[in-house]
Amino acid sequence: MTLLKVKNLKTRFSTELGEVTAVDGVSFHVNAGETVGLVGESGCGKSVTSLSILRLFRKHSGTKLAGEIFFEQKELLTSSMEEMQEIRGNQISMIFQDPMSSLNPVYTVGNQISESLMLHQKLSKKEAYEKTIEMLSLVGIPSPEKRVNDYPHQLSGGMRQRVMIAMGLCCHPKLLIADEPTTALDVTIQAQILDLMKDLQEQLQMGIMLITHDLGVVAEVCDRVLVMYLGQIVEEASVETLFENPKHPYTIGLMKSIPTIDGKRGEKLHVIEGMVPSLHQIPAGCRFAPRCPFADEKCRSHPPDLIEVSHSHKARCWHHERIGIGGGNAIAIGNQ
Amino acid sequence: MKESVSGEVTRLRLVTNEVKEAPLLQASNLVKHFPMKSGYFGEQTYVKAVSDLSLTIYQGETYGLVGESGCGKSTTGRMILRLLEPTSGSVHYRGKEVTRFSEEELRNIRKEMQIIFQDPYSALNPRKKIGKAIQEPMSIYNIGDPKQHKEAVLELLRKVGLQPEHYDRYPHEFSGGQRQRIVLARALAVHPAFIVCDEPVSALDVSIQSQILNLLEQLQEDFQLTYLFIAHDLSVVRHISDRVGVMYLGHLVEEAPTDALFSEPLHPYTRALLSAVPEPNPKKRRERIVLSGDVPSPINLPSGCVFHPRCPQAIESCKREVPILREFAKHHRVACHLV
Repeated sequence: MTLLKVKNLKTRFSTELGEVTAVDGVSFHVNAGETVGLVGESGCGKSVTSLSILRLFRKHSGTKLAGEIFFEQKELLTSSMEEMQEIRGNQISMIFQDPMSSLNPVYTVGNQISESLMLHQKLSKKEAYEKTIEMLSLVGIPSPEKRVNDYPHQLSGGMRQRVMIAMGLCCHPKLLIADEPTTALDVTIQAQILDLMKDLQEQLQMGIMLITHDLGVVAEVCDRVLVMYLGQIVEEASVETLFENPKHPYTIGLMKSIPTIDGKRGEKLHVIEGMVPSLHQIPAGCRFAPRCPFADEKCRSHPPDLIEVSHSHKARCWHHERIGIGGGNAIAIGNQ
Repeated sequence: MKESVSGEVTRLRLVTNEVKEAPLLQASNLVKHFPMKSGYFGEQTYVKAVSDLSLTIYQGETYGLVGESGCGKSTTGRMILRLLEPTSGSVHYRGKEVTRFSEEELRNIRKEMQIIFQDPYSALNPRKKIGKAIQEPMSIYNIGDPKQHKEAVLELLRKVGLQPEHYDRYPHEFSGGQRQRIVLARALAVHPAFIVCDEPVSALDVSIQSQILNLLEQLQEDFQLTYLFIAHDLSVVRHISDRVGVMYLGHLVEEAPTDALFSEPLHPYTRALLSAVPEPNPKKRRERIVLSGDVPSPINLPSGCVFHPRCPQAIESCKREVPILREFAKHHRVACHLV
């Protein structure tokens, strides 16, 4: 069942240097019970995409949204602010990267979690308090009946992220948007949090949109992956297909440039030359062309479309047919 | 082909060094306690950031120091350079005791020992052109002919992969990866032999991270540098280090040559840490050892082995006796009662 369907989303900001299109024609869907990963480097538009779904922009920021976003049957971009208020935190909730700046330092964590319960689920103060303790124990916080009265500063980073997750999940949302939920955490705590999210997903059958730059995390928890570069999706595939048979040179470059925990040592790392261009200077043809080892005249002048290269595997590349990786651990680009 | 040869060279150099040469740097029984007031009556307590840590770094190698936040790895790096005064213990650099140096001697030795930090944004003065920033250490230490400083800076810029026209630009005109290159050029301006790299790539994007890691390796070869590489990312540490030390709550719990540590981790904490690293391969979703609970507070360290409250294999004696770091296999040291 399709939970969320985004069609041709465009998000434009006005800046001092003129208007920029941070998200440029992004389309995808998330099914119930599915985890979709949104991967890319800073500035690729992955966070802006998620903020656009919930329309979390200030009224007078001059942000322009275009396209269509369907959540179940409802179109979100044309909904009123009251309707959005109903959906945010209740049916779609969001977890941010930095729990310290997303929690209010002057309220206890119990206060903050029960607020959304009273608001959305119309629970009484007492019911909300009990439910809060239940949620805190669900996310694995020891002695929740004590911790519920703690302020954010009294908790460790991992504990705060659990509080954020408890807050995100307390109304049993159908869709959870997690923006780098484990990036600020240590690996052992990250492992705990990822396991927790998986468990809760099974129990609640929720869809998860996981935004991350960590391909390791993607491989562990996602079912389907979208790779973004400079505001566009450049590749979309199931997680197995993406890691086995990536078709976009950017995806391949990303995979090759990370050192792995059990790969060969003593070799130079692969490098994607140059850096991500500014949104003010988007290349004319393929956006990745200036950094791509395969780029030719056509790439530099004609932007490619996101096309289906095989069943439910899409890539935005003119040369996807002759681009791929070799077998085994050593990923090599063949047939150039 | 060329890469693998240079890789071999590094390893060979390490092996011969261990046999022939005295260590470049030796830290012995380093302790750092930060005093703090707590409780209603302002009782004096201490954050025990580093406890009785000893390690040796040989000429030309990269020693990786890993651990989770708050384990004391950065504090260790800073004590080694005496940017922080150790509470007790000593650091010897080329046989001389750095921990007893006077201010004057310390100033001189800093030419040889440099540090680069995680955040290249706060490490550069926003009002200073980068050419000036790189040249400044040369004038402070009277290195070379002042007339040739500009030449030297341009050469350094080239070495770290920047252009001559960057000389007159300000830090805000550069991206994170480029700033890390500038910081490296500035560290190299005084011809150091030893550089502490404190999380040098963790603030960078994946595609930029690999550029900087390759650059660090290239510079090590060109300038015969020795690195203490501090990081929390195990894959990165594995890639760049010759030997690795694992820290937990201020203690060095395991130390081994990189391949031995990653193929045969002996300490239960190292094993859990390695198993927690998500692997970019969906077919290999491994059985993780998920540790329960959080890292305890460094104010009240657990008794006995500091890892025992979270250790899946802890036995009675772990709660009472502090395990000593001892050599288990060749060059492989572990602090655990069960090994």
